[in-house]
Amino acid sequence: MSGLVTWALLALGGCPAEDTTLDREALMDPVTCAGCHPAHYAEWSGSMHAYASADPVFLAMNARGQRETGGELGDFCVSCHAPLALREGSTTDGLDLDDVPAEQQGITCFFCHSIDGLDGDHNAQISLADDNVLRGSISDPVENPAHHSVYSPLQDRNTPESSAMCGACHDIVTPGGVFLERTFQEWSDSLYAHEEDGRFQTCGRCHMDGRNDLAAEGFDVPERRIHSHAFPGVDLALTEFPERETQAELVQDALDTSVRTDLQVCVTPQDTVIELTLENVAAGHMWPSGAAHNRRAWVELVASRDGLVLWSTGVYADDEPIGDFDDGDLVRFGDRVLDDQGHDVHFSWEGTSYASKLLTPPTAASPVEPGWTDTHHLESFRIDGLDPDLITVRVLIRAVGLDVLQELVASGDLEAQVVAEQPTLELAGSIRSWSLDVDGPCTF
Amino acid sequence: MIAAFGLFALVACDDTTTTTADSGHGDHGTHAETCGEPGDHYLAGMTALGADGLVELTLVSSDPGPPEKGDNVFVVSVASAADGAVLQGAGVVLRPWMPEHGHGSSPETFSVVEGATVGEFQAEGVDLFMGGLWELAFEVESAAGDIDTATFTFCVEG
Repeated sequence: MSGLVTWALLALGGCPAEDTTLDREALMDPVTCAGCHPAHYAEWSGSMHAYASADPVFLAMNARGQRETGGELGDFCVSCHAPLALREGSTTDGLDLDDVPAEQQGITCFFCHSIDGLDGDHNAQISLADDNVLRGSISDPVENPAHHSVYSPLQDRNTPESSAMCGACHDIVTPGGVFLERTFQEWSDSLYAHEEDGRFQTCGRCHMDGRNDLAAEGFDVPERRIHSHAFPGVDLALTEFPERETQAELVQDALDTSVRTDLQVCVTPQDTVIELTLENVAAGHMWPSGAAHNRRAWVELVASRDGLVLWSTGVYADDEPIGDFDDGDLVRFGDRVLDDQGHDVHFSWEGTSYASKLLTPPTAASPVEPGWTDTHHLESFRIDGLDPDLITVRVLIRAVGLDVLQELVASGDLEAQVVAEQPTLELAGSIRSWSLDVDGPCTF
Repeated sequence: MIAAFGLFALVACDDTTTTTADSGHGDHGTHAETCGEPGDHYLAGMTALGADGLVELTLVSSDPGPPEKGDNVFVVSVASAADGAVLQGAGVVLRPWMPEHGHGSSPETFSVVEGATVGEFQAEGVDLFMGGLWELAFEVESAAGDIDTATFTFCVEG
C-alpha cells in the first residue's frame, strides 16, 4: 500500500493495519498524526505552535515590517513562525501564507520530530533529518506500521538538549543585532539549568506536563510517562481556533503561580509607607519573557478608606492601554526596544538596543551559594497625608499591549476587532491586601 | 493483526543513526528522575513528628496520592506527641517549599481548615506547580499556644 493511500486512511481515522510506512507527504500532515495520537494532536491543535502562522498579530507585524524595511526582513519572522513552509519553499517572507498548504502552517509535529541537530542557539538554526524517521523521547519505541521511530535527546524533555532545541526558536536576534527574545539564555543563567541536586528543570518539564498514559492508540504499547503538547505560556489565540478555552485555562493556571507578592504597610499621622515585594517563583526564565517588548505586565495598587479610593496606581480598564515605564508611580515589567537615539520604539525592526525591567528566576538555592542573586524585587511608596484602612495589590499581564495592537490597526495591518480579544490576565498568586482592622497600622 | 506487531526493540532499517538513551534519560517507563533526593514514600496514614517534638502529624490522605504537580488536597490530623491526644482547636498552616530550588509556592502559605472529623484538617488547592522535591511544612499552633512544625517531603514528577 502506498504511503499516500495510508495517509488517506489515517485522515479518515485510525491507525494503519498493515506494514505500510507512511511517506514524507503523509508524515508532514498533522492530521495524519491524529490517527494514532489523537490526544497529542488535540493538545497541539490549540497550541501557539499550531497558531504561529495564523496569529493575526504575527501576520500584521510581518506585513508592516516587510513594508517598512523594503523587504529587508526577508525570512526573519517566518523562519520560526512557519519553518516547514519556509524549508519546503512554499514561502520566502510570510506574506503569502494564505497560499501555503495547511500541513505546512505553523510549527508542526513533523517539524519538531524531524529535528536532528542544532546549528546555533537562536533564529531557528535547526537542521532537519530527511529520512522519514520521527524523533521522540521514548528510548525503546514500539515498532509500528506508520513510521520509524528513534530516541533523540533533542526531543526528550529530561535533557538539556531539549531546552536547547526550544531555545533555537525562542531566542531571537534581530537583523539589527538586538537580542530581542532571550528565554533560553535566561533559563541557561538560572538554577534550573544545573543538572545536579534535583535542580534541573527543562522547558518541557514545565510547558509539557507529564502523565502516565499510552503514547499511541491502536497498538499494543505500554503505559509510559508521556507529556502534553499544549505548550501553555502566556499568548492566546485572538481569533477562532481549536481548544481556545482549554488553552486559556492552562495559561491562567501557569500564570496564577508564577509571581508571589508580599505587602507591608505602615500608616502614621504624616504618611503611609507601602513596601511591595515581588518574586518570580515559578517561571524558569525572566518574568515576563519571550516577546517581552510586546508584553504589558504591571502592578495594580489601590489604597482606600471606607470604600473610597484615596490613591492608586496601575488601575486600567480592560480596553485601556497602560502607561509608559516612567509614568508616575506605575510599576511595569517588560522590555523596551530603543532606537539609536535611545527613544522607545514599538517594533523590533526599528530598534538598535533594548532595556529591561524583569523579575529574575532563581540562580542558586541559597544566599551562601556562588552566583546567588536576590530574586525579591522591592518597590517602595511613601504617600504624604494618606490615611487608608485598606490596601490591595495584584499583578496583571497582557501578552501583547493594546497600544501595540492599536498601532497595527492604525497602519491597516490588523483588523480592529482583534484588539478587543486581547485579555487582561490577573495572577491569582499575586493578590494581597492589608487591612487596618486585621493587620494594624504598621506591619514592619 | 495490530497486536501481532507486539513489542519489538527498534531496529534501524536504513542508514539512520539510532541515538541510544544511554545517559539515563528517555521515557522508557512511568518515572523519570526529577529530584536530588527521593523524599518520603507516600502512604496514607504516614506520620511526622514536629521539629520541637511537641506534635505528631498524620497525613490522613493526599488527593492525588502520592502528591502530583498541580492542585492537591491534603487531610491531616494533629495530636500531642506526648500522649497522642487529638489537638482540638489547633491552628494549622501549610507552607510548601522547594529546598533544592530555594523558593516556595504562590501563595506562600495555604490555610488548613478543621473539618467535620475532630482533629482533622484539610488544605485544598495546594498547587505544587513544578516537578521536583517539595517540603510540605505544616505549622501547628495548639490551643494552649505551643508552636511546632511537622514536615513531609515528596518528590513530585513534572
